Amino acid sequence: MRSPLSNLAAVLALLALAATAPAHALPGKFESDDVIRRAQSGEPPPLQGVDVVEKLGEPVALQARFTDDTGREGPFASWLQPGKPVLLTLVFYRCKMLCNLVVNDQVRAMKELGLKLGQDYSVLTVSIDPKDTPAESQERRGRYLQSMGKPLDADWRFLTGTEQNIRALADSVGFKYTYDEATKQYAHPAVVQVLSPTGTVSRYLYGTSFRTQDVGLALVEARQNKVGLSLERIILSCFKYDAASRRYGFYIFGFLRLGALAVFGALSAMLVVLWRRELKKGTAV
Amino acid sequence: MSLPVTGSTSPEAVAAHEGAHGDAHGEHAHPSYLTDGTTIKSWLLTVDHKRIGVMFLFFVLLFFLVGGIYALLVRIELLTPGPTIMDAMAYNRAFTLHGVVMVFLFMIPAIPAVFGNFMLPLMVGAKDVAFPRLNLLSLYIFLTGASLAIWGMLHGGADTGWTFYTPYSTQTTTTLAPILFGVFITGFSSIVTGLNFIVTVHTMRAPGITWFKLPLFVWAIYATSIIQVLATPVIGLLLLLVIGENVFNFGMFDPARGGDPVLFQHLFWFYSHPAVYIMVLPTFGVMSEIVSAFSRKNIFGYRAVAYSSIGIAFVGFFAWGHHMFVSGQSTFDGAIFSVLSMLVGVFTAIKVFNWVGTVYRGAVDFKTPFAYFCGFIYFTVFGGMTGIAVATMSLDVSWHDTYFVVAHFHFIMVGGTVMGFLAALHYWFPKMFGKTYHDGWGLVSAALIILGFNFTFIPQFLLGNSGMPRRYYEYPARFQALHVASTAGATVLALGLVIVAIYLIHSLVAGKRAAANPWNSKGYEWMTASPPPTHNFVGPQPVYPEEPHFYVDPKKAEAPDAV
Repeated sequence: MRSPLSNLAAVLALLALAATAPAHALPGKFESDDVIRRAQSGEPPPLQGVDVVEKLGEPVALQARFTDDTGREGPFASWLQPGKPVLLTLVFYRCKMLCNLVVNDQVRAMKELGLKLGQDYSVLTVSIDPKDTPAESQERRGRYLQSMGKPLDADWRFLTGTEQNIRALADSVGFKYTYDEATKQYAHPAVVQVLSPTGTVSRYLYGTSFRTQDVGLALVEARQNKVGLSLERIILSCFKYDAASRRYGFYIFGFLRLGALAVFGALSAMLVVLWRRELKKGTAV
Repeated sequence: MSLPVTGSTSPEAVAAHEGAHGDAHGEHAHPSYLTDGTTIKSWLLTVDHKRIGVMFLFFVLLFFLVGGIYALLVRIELLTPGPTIMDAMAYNRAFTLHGVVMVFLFMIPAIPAVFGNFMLPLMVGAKDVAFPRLNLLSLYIFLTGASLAIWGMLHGGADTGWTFYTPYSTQTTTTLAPILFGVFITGFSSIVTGLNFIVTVHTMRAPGITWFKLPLFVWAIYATSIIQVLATPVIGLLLLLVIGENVFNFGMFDPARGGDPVLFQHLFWFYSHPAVYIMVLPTFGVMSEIVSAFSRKNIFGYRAVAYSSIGIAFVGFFAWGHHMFVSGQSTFDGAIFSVLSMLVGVFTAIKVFNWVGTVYRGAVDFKTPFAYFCGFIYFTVFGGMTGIAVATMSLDVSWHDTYFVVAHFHFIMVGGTVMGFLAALHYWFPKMFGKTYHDGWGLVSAALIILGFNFTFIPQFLLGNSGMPRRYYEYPARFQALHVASTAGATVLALGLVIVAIYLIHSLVAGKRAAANPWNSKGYEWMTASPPPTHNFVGPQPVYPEEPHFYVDPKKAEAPDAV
């Protein structure tokens, strides 16, 4: 006759095994659908070259030359001002969706921010499309400032430049983007870089919905020339919003597994202690 | 009162003693738990497991009433193909409220929190549960969560159904957050109760009660408690995530932002499938007690019944995917879940055969609890067989989200949990309140409930099989006859329940005093006065028999002058 203890031990062992088996270890993928296959195998989506390689604490390409919305031409460094951290966004003006989402949310966060534009920080938006012109920059800038209710002399410049200069700046902040012939669109990550007043990368803000608090903190850190840590790397792309969804999923699953193991471990430990005590006393069976 | 010092405290001895010394003035040397302090405060601040059980009984019955009223409203609405008494939104809210109240506020706490609390310490020969204050806390946690959930339902109410499926639940304009948060809070009550029972069974057993001398109800509650402790945290976390998604836009279940709506279903059913065993395992325990008490016979295959409770608790954790055959999970996964689900049927069948084996050649005393036992056996077998059918992937693809599924789980939940609850209520009513009820009315109402129940849900099997989807407000006219039949059945069911309420309340107020052990049961909980004194036992510890449910002494049975 098996004791209840050995039965229970077997049950617990099986449960423990089940809790640790990864979901993707199961065989049986009969779907031919590419998307399902990719999703189940954990491959990244077919978006090559869209990513952010964080270059925290490194200087940006200060010598890359740009033209701003007023037509003034100069090195990137000439738009930096002492004591003012910078919110830098890289977008392109013909962008169908993502850039607008990023900039709109940046505008929303700036409105809610306790910090004053032009006094506490400045904003730079750089076009990654060499075909964009200063005239388009001006039109775009006017629209955003109007929506913010700011005067037209506000400290937010829109820069355009040549392919070579744009690449130099993008590489220096680790902003990886590609041009897609089929859709005539750039595929790029959704991210806002926060630069220190001297032009080093201080913080990355990912996604299209920033927490105002995070933006404020990032700016304050940048002003003190501190380098922040990016806790969440959720990178979106122009085509699909899932360039890193696998990672995100893992994040949740890791959390769940830990929680499940903690609860399970606690209960098992309790039962082991209780059973051992009873078996020692000889009152169990 | 001091018991005769024969060293034996058989129920009969107690009963005889009660008869000899029981007085009409209710002045006991050892007052029962009911009369030991009669102020409101003495009830609200009590740590006596019996009073806590009685308070749980009151609230659980209240929620049963609320959920039942909404069930009737839903059935009335479905009398005609178009709008009948409410608009589509009100209908959605009504069935959501019915589901949430019945599942989270009635069925999950019903038997463990009421009868588990009241009987478990008596059955293991303890003065109380291991953590009496925690026990009281679990009642207040439950009430807090329940009040919040009910408040949320009355102020707006959700329209998502009790499963809160994403993406709808993250976008709905109805007020979901308070309901989710309320259910989240009641989860803690469930966990605390479960922990309390596990520790009680391990550490509070009287000398001489080993694991294989425990009444089967205790085994069932023990298995249930393990499920409660392991599974409830999962839904707790999940409900918080849905609140976050709904209120703060987390994006956890939104594919557009890297989330996964199917993840919600996995997490939800990882709790909610074991939850059906939280609902039905205690019923199995109740039925094991009742079948041997009313067949006057030892339970057949004691160990098989005990282990199958643990088996169901275990296998129940690996069957959740059978709710998701059409969610896009791979066919391989579906097949695995399908097979694992059928294992539950194996364990349940072991129990059913053992119960039937217990009745076989027993001296059946056909009282109200036994009537519910008969109804229960029929519903469990019928509902269980349809369960095997819906666990078959190929069939479920057609039946998924139709009335067939609704009828299946109502057969198990009403036929299982509600039968068990009513059976337990009738079996232990004299124990808990020391009053008798009219058994004739009991049998009549049991018959009405069982009949009404069949008339409610058998038409729904037919409806589901011909394609009536669940949760729909309107339906083609050709379905009307079956819907009307279903509503008629629900009315009969409600009538039966109303009769139960009337005669039980009447017997509480003006019933005759019950004998200490009116059924002549050999259950350990009857080895003390009814209602029990505050500390459960007076005088020496009862002497427990060689095995539980000890109706026939095998040694005596071999003798020619056997009873």
